[in-house]
Amino acid sequence: MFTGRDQGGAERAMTALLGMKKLDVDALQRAFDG
Amino acid sequence: MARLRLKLSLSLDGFVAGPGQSVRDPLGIGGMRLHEWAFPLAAWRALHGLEGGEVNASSRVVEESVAGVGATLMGRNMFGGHPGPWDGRQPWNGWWGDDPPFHHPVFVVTHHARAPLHLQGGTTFTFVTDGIEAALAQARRAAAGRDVSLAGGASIARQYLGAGLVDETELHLVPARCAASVCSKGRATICTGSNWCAPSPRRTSRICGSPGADGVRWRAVGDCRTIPASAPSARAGPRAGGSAPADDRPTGSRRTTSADNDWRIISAGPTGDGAKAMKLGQRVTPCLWFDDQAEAAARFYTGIFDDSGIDTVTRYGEAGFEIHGRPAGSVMTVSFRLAGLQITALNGGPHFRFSEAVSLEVECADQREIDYYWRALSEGGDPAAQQCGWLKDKFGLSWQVVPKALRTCSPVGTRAGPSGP
Repeated sequence: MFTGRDQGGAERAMTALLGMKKLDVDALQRAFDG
Repeated sequence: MARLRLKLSLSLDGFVAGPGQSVRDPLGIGGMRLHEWAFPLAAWRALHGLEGGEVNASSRVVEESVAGVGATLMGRNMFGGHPGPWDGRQPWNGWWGDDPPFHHPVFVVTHHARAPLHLQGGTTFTFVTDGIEAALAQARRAAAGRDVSLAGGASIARQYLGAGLVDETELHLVPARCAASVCSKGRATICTGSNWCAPSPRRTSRICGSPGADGVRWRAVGDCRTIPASAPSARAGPRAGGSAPADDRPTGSRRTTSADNDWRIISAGPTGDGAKAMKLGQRVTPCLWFDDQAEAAARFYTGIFDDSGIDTVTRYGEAGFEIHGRPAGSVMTVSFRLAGLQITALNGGPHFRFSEAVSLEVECADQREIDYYWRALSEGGDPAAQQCGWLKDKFGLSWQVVPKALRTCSPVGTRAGPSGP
C-alpha cells in the first residue's frame, strides 16, 4: 500500500486526503494508483 | 486462599513478546524465541496433546507451573484478535484452536463484554469487564481451592503486580534481548512506566538452571507492595497544594507504599543499551491541561485503547488555595497509560484551551481500526472539526486517525535520520 517512489501517486493521495473527514484507505489507494 | 501465580518467559531486557502481534505471529515477531526452551519438553507437549519429547531440568518447571492450577487469568491482548469491541460476524476465539491447552476456566480481562466461550477439553473463556479484582474473585471461585495462574500478557501482569495481588512470580529468563529498534513503542515490555517489586530476596525459593532458560521463583509472604514510579510530590502541578495518592485505577486496584520494601526491579524496557535502558520509565510525558475534566477524560481515553489504565490520581489540598482556587480534595492530576504511553491530565482551570496545534496521532493497521478509533474518539465531539483524518473529541483535544502506510507516503519524499526533512 502506498509503496514505491511514485511522487505523482503520493501527490494524488495527499490531495484526496485533504478532501476527506475520516480517512478511507481504499479511496487513498485508488488515488495513489491513479 | 488460592494463590495467584504469575509465570512469564521474558528476555533479558524485559520483553514477554515481540512487536507486530498478528494471527501469523501470535507472540509478535520473534516472540516465539522466548518459549523455545519449553517446546521440546515432554511435559509441554503432553499439555498440548502431543507425544514424546525431552526430559531435562526444565521439565519440573513446566510440570509445577500447571500443577494445582484450577483457573487462568489473562488480558485481552493475550487472548488476541483485534482492538475494540468484538466482531460478532467474525468472532475471535483465541489463538489455541478448538481444544486449548488450559482445560479449565479462563477469565479474560477486557473493556468489551462478550458471552462466555465454551471450547473442547473443558476450557471456558469468560470475559470480565469490571476490573482485575473482580476477575480474580471469579477465577478463585472457579478454581475451587486450587491456585489461579496469571498467564499474561504484559499489561495485565503489570496491573496485578502493581496492585500487590500476585502471590508468586515465576520468570523464565531467556538469554535473548529484543532489538530496541523494532520495539520502540514498548507495548510488549512488562516493566515500562511502572516499578516492579518483589518481596525480600530471602524469599527466593528456587533458581533452576538449564541449557535453555534459567527459572527464578520469588514467593510472596504477606504484602507485596509497590512504590509508585513517581512520588505524588514529584507529580504535582504548577500550582500544587498538598496531595495524596489516590486509589483510582478503573480496575479497582490498590497502591501502597512501604519503607521496608527495600529493593525493586525497575526496567524501562526498549529504550537502549546498558544504563540507558535502566532509566525510570518514560522520560518525556505529555501533560494535557483541562478545566476540571481530567478524570473524565482519562476514563474516556483509557476505555478506548488497549494497554491502558489510570495509574495515579492526585488531589488539591487546602494549601495554596489562594493561588489555585480549587476545592480541597478535588482532582489535580491523573496519570494514565494510553496504549502504553504515559500521559498526565491536569485540572488547571479554564485559562487555557486545546487547539489543533497539538494533536495525538493514532496509527491504524487497516480500515477497521480507523473506523473503530474514529467512531470512539469522535463520540460527542464537534463534527465541524473533522477534516483530513483529524477530529476533536468531546474535551476539545485533537486526534489524527491515520493508516500506518501513510507514514511512508509523502509527495516530497522521506528521508530517515537527523538530516531528513
